Amino acid sequence: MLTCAAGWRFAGLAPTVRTKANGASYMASSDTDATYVRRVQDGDRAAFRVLLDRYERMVFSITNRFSDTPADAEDLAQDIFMKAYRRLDRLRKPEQFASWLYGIALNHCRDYAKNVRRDTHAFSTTERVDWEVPAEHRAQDAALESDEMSQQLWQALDQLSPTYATPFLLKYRDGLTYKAMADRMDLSVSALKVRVHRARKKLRTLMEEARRDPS
Amino acid sequence: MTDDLDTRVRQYLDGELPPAQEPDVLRRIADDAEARALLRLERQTQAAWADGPDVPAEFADRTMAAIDAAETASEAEAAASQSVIERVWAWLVGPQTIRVRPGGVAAALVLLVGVAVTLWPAPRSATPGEPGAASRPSANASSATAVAQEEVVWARFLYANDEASSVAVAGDFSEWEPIPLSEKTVDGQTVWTGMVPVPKGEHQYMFVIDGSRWVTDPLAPVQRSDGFGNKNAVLQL
Repeated sequence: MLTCAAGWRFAGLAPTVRTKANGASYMASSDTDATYVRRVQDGDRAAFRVLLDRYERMVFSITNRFSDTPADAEDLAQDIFMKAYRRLDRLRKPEQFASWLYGIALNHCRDYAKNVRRDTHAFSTTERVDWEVPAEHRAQDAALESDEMSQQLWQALDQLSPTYATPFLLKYRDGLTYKAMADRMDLSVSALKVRVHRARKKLRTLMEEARRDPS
Repeated sequence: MTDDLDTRVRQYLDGELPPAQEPDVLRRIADDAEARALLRLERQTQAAWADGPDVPAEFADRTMAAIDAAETASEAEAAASQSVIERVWAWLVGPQTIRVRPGGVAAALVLLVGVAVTLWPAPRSATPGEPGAASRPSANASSATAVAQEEVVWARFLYANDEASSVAVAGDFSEWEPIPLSEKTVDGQTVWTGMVPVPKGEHQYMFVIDGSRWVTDPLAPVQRSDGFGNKNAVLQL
């Protein structure tokens, strides 16, 4: 809209953020994500560090898939956390921080991939390449198979809602226990188990469909 | 797969099945294609994701430093421009009625663009198409007239959208190459904004959402068919 829509208040343009004067560390704390989200929303910038520490591995799991070099993956991850910080004021349900961040990360990487594809030769990771693997390269064959499995898994995971994809990723990729996830996300262990199991079943269906119809 | 077997499979995969029940459940899994597939997925997932992602040392420190730098710059910028902004905003949202005659639409648009150019806080960093520090209008520039006296007008484009990951503006003034707009938060609403040099005269433009969706400016007073089924917004300066 090429206009100034009524109802905006310029005073809200840049949120005033205070840092903790004493530089207190939150590293050892085990409060819920929502606790730290609210602290950041109340102006405690340093509280964001806890969220960053907790979810950097999850974000790198996503950025590594979309980038060719470790430097690109780090740039993407940093952009994602900065975007999340800027948008944190708008997170209405702080207890859903993990899945909210997952959504931001995935969308950011998809946009990045779109822009990269404009300038580079398009090569779909799902393209099937038929070749004979020499017998002496069985180890490589196994590695390729594992890579292919991983790619199929990621492609299926991308189709899940963040509500289900996030706990699945945290459990299997980050190796978190249900208890650790529950403490962070303010959910019961049983609720998380149900979400992870629904994710398993949906992933199985999606991967089976993808194998039947590779296009 | 029955609900009971589904529950048993979940308990088995989550390691909460009593050992005495395992043989029976494994037999039932062997007889059920869906349960077997779930067990296979579990093993493949564990094998494929055995190694978690590597996170560079001190990534969190670098990111916090970047956030600190960005916020400090943003606070300084907001403080510098706030007083002027508040005065003009009071005028913009005040109880005023603007009547626009068909012949006056172009003039009204020029004024609107000019006001935005003059009073919106300047972006922290120049992106393609953004003015550099030397040519950027000051937050205290006195009127839209000074801007309009130049051969090139710096037009401020604004687009409010909470869902988009990116917004750009593209027009004949950019040879239809999208120029990325910067993201701002205004009263909880995401606003995409950027200054673009536009030669005086009539121009057509569209917004590009998420790099692929081209949309017509819904509030442009004049829209014109592009001959391919879409409508371009028309900007007259």
